[in-house]
Amino acid sequence: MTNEEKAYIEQYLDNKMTLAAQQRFEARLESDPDFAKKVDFVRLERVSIDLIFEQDLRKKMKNWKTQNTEGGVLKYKTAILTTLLLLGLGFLLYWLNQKHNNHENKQPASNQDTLPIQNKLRQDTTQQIVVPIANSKTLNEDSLNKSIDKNLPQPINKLKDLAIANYEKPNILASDIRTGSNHTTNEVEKIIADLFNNNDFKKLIIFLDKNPFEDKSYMNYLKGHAYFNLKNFKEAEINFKQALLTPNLERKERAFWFLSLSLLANGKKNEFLTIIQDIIKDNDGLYNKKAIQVKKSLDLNY
Amino acid sequence: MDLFKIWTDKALIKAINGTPTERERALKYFFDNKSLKKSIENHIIKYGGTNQDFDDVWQDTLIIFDKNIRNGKFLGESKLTTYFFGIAKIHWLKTLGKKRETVEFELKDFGNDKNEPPYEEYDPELKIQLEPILSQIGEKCKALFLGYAEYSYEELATQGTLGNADAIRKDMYRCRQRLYKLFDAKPELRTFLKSLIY
Repeated sequence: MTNEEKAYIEQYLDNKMTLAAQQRFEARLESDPDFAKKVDFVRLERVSIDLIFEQDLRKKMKNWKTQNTEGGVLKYKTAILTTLLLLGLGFLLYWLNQKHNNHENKQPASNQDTLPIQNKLRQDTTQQIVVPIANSKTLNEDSLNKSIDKNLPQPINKLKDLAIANYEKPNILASDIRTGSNHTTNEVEKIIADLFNNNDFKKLIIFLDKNPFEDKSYMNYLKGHAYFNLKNFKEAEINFKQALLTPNLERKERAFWFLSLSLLANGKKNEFLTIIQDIIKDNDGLYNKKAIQVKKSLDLNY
Repeated sequence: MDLFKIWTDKALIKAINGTPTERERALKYFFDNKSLKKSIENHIIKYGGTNQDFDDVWQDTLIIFDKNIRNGKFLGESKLTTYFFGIAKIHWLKTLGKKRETVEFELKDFGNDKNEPPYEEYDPELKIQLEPILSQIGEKCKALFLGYAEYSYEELATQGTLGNADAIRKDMYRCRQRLYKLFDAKPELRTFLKSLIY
């Protein structure tokens, strides 16, 4: 079959002939068996080409399906691996944090520089520091967490920074606490001292709320420290103010100093300056040098 | 990247009739069309099919769709996706008819409309008869025929894999003669053509 003959047949098959040409074509188709055979071959050729396309496309679809399945499986695998990785990382961080806290809790009671907040501040002197709080969590902490966690973590401003930097938590002895008239140290006093010295402030607040003792002033003093360490400076300020209602002069002096730091942390600069003037005037005072230092720092920087 | 390419119907038709690479991209675009897939799957499940039925119909539909586009059967009276869906509906109707010979189905039961696409299936026996012939013509001839559908010899030559235009012309002629010779050896093939439109 020549190319011309093939083109002629295709014209007919594609309906591209005039009616007259079509009639002549069909007449020849009827009368010429060789020509009819050629027409059938062109038609078979077309079907064959369609089948070649079909075979080719089926192969492609099989590949696409495999690719899509593998791609889907890969996506799932990636998601699972990422989740596992994140979980692993989370556990690692949790473990490191626990280890860090345990290490801090094991520091000797006489060490006055064990406050985690201060350690953080010494490592990072930038203005915007996120200070993590809390050591361990107990079953009874939920309500306390609600009041504290909303404040955490939060960036601290410069005054807060200065207050925290100059805060040093004192360690206490169980014998300092007088829960009753008996001067023998009891179990409750030991627990309070342990919780305080081990920086277990959330538990301490809950424990003090459940086991209030007669010396309210000292109780407020301890709670003031607890709240300060938990960065709830408003509560710290309230509790240190209440602690000042004590006849104990030494405690009054301490409570004044920590109240001044709470005021500073709360951004109450003027109130802070009023109180600190008194501390500065008392040359023999426990916090005299510290107060001068803070005042100087405040004058220079803020 | 096809992922970010927005295909128009015109571009899709051109690509299906284009180079093997363009063609593959356009057909893969349909193959990966999730919303179309979901619509067809819902239709098949609604009318008594299974997921396996859907899988078969989905692939067969793409084959018929491709054939119709290449052979100029799509007249642009609807969107390509509507056309594709129409083919799937008819194909499922016919498949179901074969499966349940005693049950009568009417197109209207399947939401048939006036603009259903032309649907032509080759006689399965004709396919069976042609398969050994196609395996005898060789891969090079198949490649030539795949390109032959829409390309001139010069265009085939510029694609670079089949040689120069003259060589392609000669090869194509030889392939066609080989094919006709194989047809000649199987005169019964011609009897299957009576039911075909062309």
